[in-house]
Amino acid sequence: MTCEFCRERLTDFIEGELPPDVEDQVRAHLAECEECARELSQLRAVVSAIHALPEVAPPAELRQRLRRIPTTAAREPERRPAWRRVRYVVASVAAAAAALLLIWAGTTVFQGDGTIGDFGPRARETMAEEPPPPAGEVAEEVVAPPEAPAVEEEGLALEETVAEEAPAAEMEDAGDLLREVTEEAPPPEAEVEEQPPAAPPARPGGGGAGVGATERDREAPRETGETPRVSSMREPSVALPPPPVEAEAEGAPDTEPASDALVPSPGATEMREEAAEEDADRAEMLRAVGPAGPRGAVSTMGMAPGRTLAAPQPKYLEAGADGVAVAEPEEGSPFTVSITPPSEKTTGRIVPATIAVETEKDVARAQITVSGSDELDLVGVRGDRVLFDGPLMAGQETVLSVRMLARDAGRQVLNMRLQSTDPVVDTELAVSMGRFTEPVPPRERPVSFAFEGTPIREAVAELVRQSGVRVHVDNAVSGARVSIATEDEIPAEAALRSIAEAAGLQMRVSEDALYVEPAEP
Amino acid sequence: MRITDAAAANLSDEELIRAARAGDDEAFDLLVEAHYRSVYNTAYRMLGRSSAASDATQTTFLRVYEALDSFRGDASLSTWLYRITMNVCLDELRRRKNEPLSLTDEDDDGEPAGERDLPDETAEPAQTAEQRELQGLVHEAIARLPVDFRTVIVLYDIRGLSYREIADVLEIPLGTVKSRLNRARGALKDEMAQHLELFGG
Repeated sequence: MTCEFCRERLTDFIEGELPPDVEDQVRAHLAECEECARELSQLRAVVSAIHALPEVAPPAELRQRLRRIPTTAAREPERRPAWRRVRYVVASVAAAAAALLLIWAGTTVFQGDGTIGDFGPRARETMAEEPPPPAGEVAEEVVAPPEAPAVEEEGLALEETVAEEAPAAEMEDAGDLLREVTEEAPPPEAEVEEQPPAAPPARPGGGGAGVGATERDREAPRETGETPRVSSMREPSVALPPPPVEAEAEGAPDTEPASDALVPSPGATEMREEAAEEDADRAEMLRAVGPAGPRGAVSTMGMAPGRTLAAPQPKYLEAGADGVAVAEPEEGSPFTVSITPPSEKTTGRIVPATIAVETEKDVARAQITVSGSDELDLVGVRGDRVLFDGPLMAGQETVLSVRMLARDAGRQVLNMRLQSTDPVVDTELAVSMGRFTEPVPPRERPVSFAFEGTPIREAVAELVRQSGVRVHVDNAVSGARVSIATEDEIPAEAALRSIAEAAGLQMRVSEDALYVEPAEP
Repeated sequence: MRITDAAAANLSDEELIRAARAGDDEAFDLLVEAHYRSVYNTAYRMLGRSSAASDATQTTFLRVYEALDSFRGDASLSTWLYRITMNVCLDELRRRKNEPLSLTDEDDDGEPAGERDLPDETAEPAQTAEQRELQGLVHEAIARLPVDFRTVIVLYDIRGLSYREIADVLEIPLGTVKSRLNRARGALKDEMAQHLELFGG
């Protein structure tokens, strides 16, 4: 065997791809040829060095670019939110070191008033389906003409244990009971009944809320079918035209007007972003003058087929994104996302940071709370963005709790952005919040209970607590008691019907709520 | 850690492609999720730089998206993806050749291209500076290999494809894959000759 013959087969020899007889020949040659043996050991060293190369984590922004392929490929005109273009900001690699930011995001979908940036305790945390309306909306409900009761019969899995007539005499303090219902149930039925009926909607110009109302009035017609733009947090007493039904099912009220109101005077953050956008625009212009790639110079996101020397590269983001883990948790499970500084230089430094959180599609809202840093302040909400400002300690864990309110089923993605000026940090990460499933309407949610001589309001309150269904209990039946228990879980509406019947009452179905009333004679 | 991986695992590539072809962009996104790291890593080793790898990954999936209808399933999705990825990378390398002033030059002077993409220290505390340096050297040496050699090294030694799969991806005879890999490793060894003592050669 010649050395040449041997060397041609060294790779196959290493890989065990040689026929046994050839392998033996090579082995024999290697035993006596020092040079070929050295060649083999060097090759092995090279191979093991290649194998030691780590799998590289793609930059987080790449995932975002890929997510947009279906839209860009469909030749849609670019319609990126302006702030996203900031990703093309050129920052020096040396300044890439960022704070270690640990973001904890609980993926519980919640139902609240839908106000971004409201840190108050939530009445309940369930799938967003039917947000408690502001008072004005409730008032409208009261005057709405009652609908014909639904006649469809539900198959009942109820077992009526005792069907005794409720003693009508024992009048309990209705007020107390009402409060009880109110406390346990998100829809404030007590308030409904205490509202003066038929409160006319506030008109534009008719007081302090005039501006907001005017805005909404302007928007309402062209947003048919969408949630009316309300901030129940800021203007709880403004009465509104009743929302379209679909809007209520869709989820939380939008918050844009309130958002604008919350935005402080444009500070450094905004200036930075504006400057960054200019940079981005410049970058795109420069790219545009380069030789056009197969898809045109600026047609696709982040692509620079016609790259020129002068075109700024999103260099920082690459560097900064290296340590970014994009966590995509099971829905409902907590997870962490960390941005790890690529160098240790800034560890322990205080980093003045701005964190922007944006939902990717206009179908979701984020509710952000912060723990781990007392000094991180909410500075404003604008559109889909929530901005926090404050010092972050590089290398120290900062925990953000992120909640999302989804309007649609499907996957939701949060874009978070960490920015600071010293060192210059501008990095983005995407947090997939998992797949939201179509919420079960409250009336179909399963409930189970066992009542034994329970006052009707208490029984209803329990049902409401379990399902979130809206129920009006007629004052005339407050004294009724009910004894009934479930064997299996049954849908809330069917359950209520059985409860009402067991108490010698009747249930009436309306679009806005279920009513428990005295039985028809 | 990634639910989408789990979700993608439940649906076969074929099912996802069928759905994506029918216009289900979510299915396409699951395909992307399942494969983009692999595409990115392939492109990264082929092109040497993270930004170029990102662009190539995007172009690859753009081509995949546009060519969904033409995927006939006679090759595995993985083979098809690797083929597109390689074509995109080769296009990019050709383009660079015609553009001597391209930004790729910067990798030759300043920092080692691979260094900033290496995993951070916290991920692998045992990793020494020496190891990182070696990885940078290997990365650069691969990037300097003739494209044909680089291709087989990347596919075989880095991505772990078999000879057969490489032959399918590159549409070359099996024997060519073998001989090319052998010569490629030899060339890489020569590239790294001065550093061999680093890894006990």
